[in-house]
Amino acid sequence: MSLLHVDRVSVQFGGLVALDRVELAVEPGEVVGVIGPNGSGKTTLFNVVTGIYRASSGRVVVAGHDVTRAHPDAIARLGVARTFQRIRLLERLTALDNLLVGYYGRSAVGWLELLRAGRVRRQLQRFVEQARELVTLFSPELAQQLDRPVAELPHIDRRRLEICRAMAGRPRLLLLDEPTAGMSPEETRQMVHDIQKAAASLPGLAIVIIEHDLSVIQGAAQRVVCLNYGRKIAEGSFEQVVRSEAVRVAYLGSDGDGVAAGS
Amino acid sequence: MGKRLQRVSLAVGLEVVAYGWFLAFLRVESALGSLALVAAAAALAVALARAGALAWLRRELDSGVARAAAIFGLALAATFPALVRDNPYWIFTLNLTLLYVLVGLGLNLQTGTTGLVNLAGAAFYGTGAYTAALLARDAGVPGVASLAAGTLAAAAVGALLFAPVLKLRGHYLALVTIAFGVIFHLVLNNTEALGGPQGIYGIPDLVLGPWNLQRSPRLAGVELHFYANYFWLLLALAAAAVWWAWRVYDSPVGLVLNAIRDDPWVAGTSGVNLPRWKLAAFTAGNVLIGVAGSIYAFMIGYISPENFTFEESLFMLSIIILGAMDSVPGVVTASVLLVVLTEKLRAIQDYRFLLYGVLVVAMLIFRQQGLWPPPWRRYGLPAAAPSSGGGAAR
Repeated sequence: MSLLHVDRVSVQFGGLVALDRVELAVEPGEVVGVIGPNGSGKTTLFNVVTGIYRASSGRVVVAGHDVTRAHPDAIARLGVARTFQRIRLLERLTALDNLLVGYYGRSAVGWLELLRAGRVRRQLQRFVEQARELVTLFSPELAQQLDRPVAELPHIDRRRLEICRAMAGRPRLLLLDEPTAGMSPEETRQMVHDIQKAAASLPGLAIVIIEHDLSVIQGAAQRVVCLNYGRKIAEGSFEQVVRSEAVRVAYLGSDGDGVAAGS
Repeated sequence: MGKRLQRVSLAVGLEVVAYGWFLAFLRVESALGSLALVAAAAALAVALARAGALAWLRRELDSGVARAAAIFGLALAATFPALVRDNPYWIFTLNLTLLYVLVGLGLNLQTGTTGLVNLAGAAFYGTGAYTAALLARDAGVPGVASLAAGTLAAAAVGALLFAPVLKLRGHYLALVTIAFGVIFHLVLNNTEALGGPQGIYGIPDLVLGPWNLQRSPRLAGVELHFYANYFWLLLALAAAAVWWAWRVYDSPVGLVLNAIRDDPWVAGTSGVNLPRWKLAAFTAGNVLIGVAGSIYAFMIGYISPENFTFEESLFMLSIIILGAMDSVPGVVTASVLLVVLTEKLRAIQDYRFLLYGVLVVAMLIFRQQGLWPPPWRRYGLPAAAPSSGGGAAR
């Protein structure tokens, strides 16, 4: 049984077909890259898997549970976490607050439990320690600045926080939507390295990563899927996919220099 | 220990000075005199804030002495009815203030913390008031039970109203609450059984066990106005509500509610059950509003539809706008300012509204974030490195 099974899923917005009978299976421990030109449906795929959009037809199955009609929180509680293409942080709060949402999203204490201050505080302290350890894997400097408002932090730290928030709930499936967008090649390499390091602490974690930078995909993903106009046009190893005729055509008749195709 | 004693004395001293200033402010008859007092205090506050006194105060008064300062402050406040016994009108005004603290905390939990804009505060307040008053007068239900019923009624009506719109996004809830407020007012005006436009009069005394709140209390041979009873009851309730609201704010619950307010996608994909928490926050807020409304009915003994208009709802909402969204101290500050200043400025009649206008414009220009923005959450954990200060930058 696959961890994630996207079973012939279509998503339609009025007359626009954003996803057209897309089929995708992800096994525990796998890293799958999703590529494709802008507007090819990559983010829509994430949105339908996390319950933000609803499939017009087809099924989404997570660890044996049919979540096609489930709400985002129910899907998250099955162990699916994600980041967003445009970083979504709670801008009015601190870095620590943002991380704690990842820990407490699944199990916020109830009103009455607030009266049991000691218990609440011990749990909190544990989460704060875990958060600090997790962030340290990405950036020891950032781990020392968790009391700062996120709005003040540089882009790369904001992206790190978003990824850490997603990993905070110890997910089984992590969906990363262009985690290195807007970063220099050096920063990109570092980020991919850090993500792999953090992922190693969650055995069996499967990652699906949307990337424009094909060199990232090449190094990190065991399997690559290419979407175009909402359809899956290729799937296989990185080499297989970038050499496929359909993918070349999709990337504007590129002469095979796939790395340059990203924008 | 010596350090701690010093800090406690500092806190206590500040409280006594503030209290003394407040009493003097109430005593001064002329509008000019009160304005001068306000100006003096404001100038002093601004000067001190500029000099960095706020950060220093926050450090000095941190956690260790907060409890002692709160207990002393409450004891000090409890002397108020005795100190203004020649003028029960001011006790009444402070009672209104405390009612608005309760209402403001409720609205703040809904609107400020969770982002559920409630434009029907007065209608939920009225639901509590009418329920308690009718039960006590026509069904002979005893005091505590009437208060509880009024509170529950406000919460239940809110939950019923809310359930159908839970799935809608954006400002639909705000629209639904406006509609509810208008309908509530119309129904009260047109229903014979609810007293129609005449409202409900002859609401019986509020008796809690051996304590009849409508009887003038005697303290050491001195007789106080019966408003003093309500003052003490409301002071205790407001203090408990402030304590609880702060607990909620500075906890993972407050955080999760903020996440719902700021980004439902982030909250949802992090596992937050949005409908459940929205309903919980809306209902808990209405509990506070409802209990305030129920007590209000007993205190003034006569209620009519005109107490629960849309304008009143807007006034309630202005408390959290002036004080700052999601700020417990902001609610208290703004309640005192709005209610006491309104009464104080009755003397200058129509110019009051001019002053409100100036105040609103000044706030919008100089301090959009509200008077007292919420501090960063610390979850009651010990302070780490010096943080970047309160939420003033927001």
